[in-house]
Amino acid sequence: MEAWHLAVNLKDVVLDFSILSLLLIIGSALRRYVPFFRRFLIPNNIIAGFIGLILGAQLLGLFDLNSDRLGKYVYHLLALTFITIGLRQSKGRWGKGPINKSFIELTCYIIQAVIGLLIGFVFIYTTKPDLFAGMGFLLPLGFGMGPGIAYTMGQSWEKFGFANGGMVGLTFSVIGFLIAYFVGIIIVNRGISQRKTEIVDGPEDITEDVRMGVIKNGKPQVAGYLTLSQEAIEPLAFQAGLIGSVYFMTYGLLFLITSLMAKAGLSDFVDTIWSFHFIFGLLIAVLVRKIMDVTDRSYLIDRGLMSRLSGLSVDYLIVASIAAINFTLIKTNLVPVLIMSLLAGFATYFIIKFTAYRSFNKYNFERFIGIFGEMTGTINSGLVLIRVTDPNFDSPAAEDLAYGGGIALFMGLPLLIMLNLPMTLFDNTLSGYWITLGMILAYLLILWLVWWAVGLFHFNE
Amino acid sequence: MNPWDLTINLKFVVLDLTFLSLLLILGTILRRYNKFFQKFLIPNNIIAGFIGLILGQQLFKLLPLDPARLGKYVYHLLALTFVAIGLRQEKKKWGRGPLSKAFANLTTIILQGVIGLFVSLVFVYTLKPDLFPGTGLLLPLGFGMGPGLAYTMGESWEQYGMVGGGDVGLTFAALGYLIAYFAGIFIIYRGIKNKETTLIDGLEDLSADVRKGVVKENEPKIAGYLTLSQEAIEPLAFQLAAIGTVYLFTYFVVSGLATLMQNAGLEGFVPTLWSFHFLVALLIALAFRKILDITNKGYLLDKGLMNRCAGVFVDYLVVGAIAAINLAIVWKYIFPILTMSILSAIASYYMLRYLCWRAFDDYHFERFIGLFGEVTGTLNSSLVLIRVTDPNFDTPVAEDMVYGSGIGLFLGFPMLVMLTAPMNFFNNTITGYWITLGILATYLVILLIAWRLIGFLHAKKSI
Repeated sequence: MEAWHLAVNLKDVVLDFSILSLLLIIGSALRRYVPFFRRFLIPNNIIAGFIGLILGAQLLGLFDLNSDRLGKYVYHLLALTFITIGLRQSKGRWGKGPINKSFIELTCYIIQAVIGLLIGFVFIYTTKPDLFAGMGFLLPLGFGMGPGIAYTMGQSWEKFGFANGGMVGLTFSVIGFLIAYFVGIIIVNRGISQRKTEIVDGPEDITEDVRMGVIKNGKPQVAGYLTLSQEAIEPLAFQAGLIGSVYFMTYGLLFLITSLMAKAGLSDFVDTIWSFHFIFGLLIAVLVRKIMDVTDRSYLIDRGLMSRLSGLSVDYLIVASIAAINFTLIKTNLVPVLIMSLLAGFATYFIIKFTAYRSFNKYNFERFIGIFGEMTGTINSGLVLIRVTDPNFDSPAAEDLAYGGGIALFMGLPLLIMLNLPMTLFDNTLSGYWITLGMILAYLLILWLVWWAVGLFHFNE
Repeated sequence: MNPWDLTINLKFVVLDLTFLSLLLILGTILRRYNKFFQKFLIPNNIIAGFIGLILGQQLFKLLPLDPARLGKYVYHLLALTFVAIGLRQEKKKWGRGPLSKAFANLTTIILQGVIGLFVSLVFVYTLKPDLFPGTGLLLPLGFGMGPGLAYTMGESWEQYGMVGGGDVGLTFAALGYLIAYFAGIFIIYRGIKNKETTLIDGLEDLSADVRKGVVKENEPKIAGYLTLSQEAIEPLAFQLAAIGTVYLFTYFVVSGLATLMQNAGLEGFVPTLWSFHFLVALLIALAFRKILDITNKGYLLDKGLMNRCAGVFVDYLVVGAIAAINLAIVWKYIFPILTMSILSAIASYYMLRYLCWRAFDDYHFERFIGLFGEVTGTLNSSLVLIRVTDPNFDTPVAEDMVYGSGIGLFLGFPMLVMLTAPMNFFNNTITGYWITLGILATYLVILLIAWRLIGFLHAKKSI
C-alpha cells in the first residue's frame, strides 16, 4: 500500500508526462541526426533519459522532474509492461535455443549477484563498514532485469536501512545500458573483424532506417489489427481497458493478501509483496489470457496492439528511470557502485562467452552478443546487438532471445525471492548474507547439474 | 486560478484509470451479449459510463469514483483528443457536401442555444428565479459539441455563480447521447417504413460484427503502420510523445497568456482562457503538423496510430464524463434541463428535416440522420447512425460528415465566444443574456443567408 501512496498535484503529473514526451521527441531527433548515437545504435529512450538528467532539476534546472514522482511512474509502468506481456501471450517455444539461453541468463544473474555481494563484503570489512551489504544484490536486477525491477526492489530495501536503494538500483541499470551499447558495439566490431560472425561481413549491412531510427526508405510494417468494431469501441482502448482491468485485480489481490498478512503478524513482508506486484500482475494477466483462450475470446486481443502498448510503457519507463537519478543521493555509494559494475561487466562477458560456446553449436557469436546485451541492458538491447550481426533476423538468435524470456522468468523467480531473504528473513545481519550466498551458489549448482543432465551443456567447447 | 491544480494521492489517479478500464470492459461485454444495446447500437463507452454512474459514489458506492477527479481527466482528455486530431492531418475536402454539412450542423447548434437560453430566461422569470440563466447556453455545448467541452465550459462558469455548471454540462451531453441513439434508431425505423432510405429496406443488412462490436466474422482491418524503427523507439510511443510535447507547449502558452492578462488587468477572462485551452492545443498541433509537413517530416506521424490515440482519449473521456455526473445537482434543475432538452431535440429534428432536403441533392435521409446524430451526440454517433442506413459506407455521406467537421469547428468559433459573452462581457446580468440571445439569433440568420448566397442552400425541396 505504501508503495502506491504519494501526495501529488495532478498538474505536476500531467506536466511530468508531457516533459517525458518532449524528451522522447528530442531523443528521436538526436538519434536521427547525430552520427555518434547512430553508430552505437543508442535507443531514443536512453538518449532522452540522459537529456532529462542534464536539463532537469540537477544540472540545468530547466524543469522540475521530481525523483519521487518519477520513481512511482517507473513502479507502475513496470507492472503495466508485465501485464501487456502476459496478455499478449508470447508463443512459448521450448527447445534447445530458448532453454540454453535461459540457463545462461540465470547463471549470469547469479554470478552478478555473487560478485556484487563479495565486493560489498570487501568494502564492509575494510574501508566502508557502513555500506549496505545487500547493495550488490541490485546488480543482477539493474544489469540483468532492467531499471523497473532494480528501482522497485531497491526502494523496498530502504526500509531495512539501505539509504537511497531505489536510486542505486537505477544507477546500476543505467551503467548496464552504457555497457550494453558501447561495449556491445565494440565487441561486435571486433567480432566482425575477427570473422566470428556468420552472416555479416561488416557493420555497413545495417540499413539506414535502422541506424536513423525512422522508416524512410523501407516499407513501414503493420502496427496491428482492429479486432473490435470501431463504432462500438476504439480497439486500442479495449486493449488498454484489459490492461487496466488486470491492474485493478492486481491491486485488489495484493490489498487482500497484505491485509491478511498484517493480521497474521507478518507485516514485515508486506512491503516485499508490494514490490513483487509486477509478478502478480503478470500472473493475473496470464490467467486472464488463459481464460480468454479457453473460452475462445482471445481473438479480441491483438498481439500487435498489445506490443505497441508494451513498447510504449517501456519507452516511458526508461526515460523516467534515467531522468530520476539524483547525483547527490548516489555520491556516497559511487565508488562501490562503479567497482561492482566494472567487475560485473567483465564477469558477464566471460561467463556468457564460456557458456554460449559450450551450449550452442551454430551462430555462437550472434547468440553470445544478444545475451550479453540482455544481461547488461534489457531484451531490447540484446535484439539491437543481434540486429547488427544479423540485419534481417535470419538466424534463430533473436527468436530464441524473445522466447526464452518466459522460461528465464520462471527460473529467475526463486532467485528473486532468495535475493530478498537477507532482509525479510535474516534481519539484515551479515551472517544472513553469507547464508544467502550459500543458497544462491547451491541454486547455481543445481541449475548447472540439470542443464548438463538434460544434455544441453557440454564441458568442452 | 489554475484549473490544473488538484492535490491528490497518486494512488487514486492510478486506481481511477483502472476503474475506467474495468468499466470499458464491462461495457464491451454488455454490448456484445445484450440484445437491447445491440438494437440501439449504444457504444461501449456510454454503457460503461452509465454503469460507472450506477456503481459509483452516488448510488451503489462500489467504486470510489470522485467527480472532481473525473472532471479533471475529462478536461485533459478533451485537449489531448484535439491535439491528436490536429496532428493527424485531416484531408480537407471542400465542396458542397462538407460545406453544407458544416452549415447545417452549426445553424442547428445555434438554434439549440437560442432555445436553451430562451427557456432558461422563461424559467428565471417564472418558476425558478434562482436558475442560472446561462444554463441553456450549455445545451448546444452538451448536445452539439460533446461532454468534454460542455464540462469544461460549465465548470468555468461556476465562478460566475452557476452551481454545478460542469455537472449540468455533462448531463446535457448524456441526454444528448440518449437522444442520438434511441431517437436516432427510431427515426431510422420510421424512415425505412416510409421508404425514405436509399440503400436499405430493413435493419438486417447490418453485419453481426457491427452489432456486437467485435470483429469475429470479417477480416480485421489494419490499425496503422510503424513509421519508426522499433530498435530506436516504439512507434506508438513516438505518436504519444508528439501529443505530449504539443500539450506541454499548450500549457506554457496558456499560462503565459494568463499571466499577461492578469498583468493587463484582464483577470476576469483568465478562467475562460483556461477553458479554451483545447483550442489553443488544437492550433499548436496544427502548427506542428504544418512544420513537419513543410520540412518533409510528416511521414513520422501515422494517421492510423494517431486515430488510435484519439479513440482511446475519447473512450476514456466519455466513460469519465458520464460517471462524473452529480445526480443531486442535476435533480435540483431536472425540470428546466428536461424541458430544454426535449424542445431542442424536437427543434433540431425539424430544422434538419427542413435543411437537408434543401441543401443536398442526394441521400437526404442518410445525411439527415447523420447530422441528427452529430447535433445531439458526437461525430461518432453520427457515423453509427449513417452506418445503419449505409452499412458499407457506399455513399459519400460519412466522408462528408468527417470532412465537414474541420470547417464546422472554424465556423463554430464565433459561436463559442458568443456563448461565453454574458459572463465575459456583460457581468452576468439578465440584459446581457437578452443581448446574447439577439446576437446568437443574428448569427444564425447571417449563416443561413451566407449559405443561400453561395448557392448551396435552395429554397425548394429537392426530391
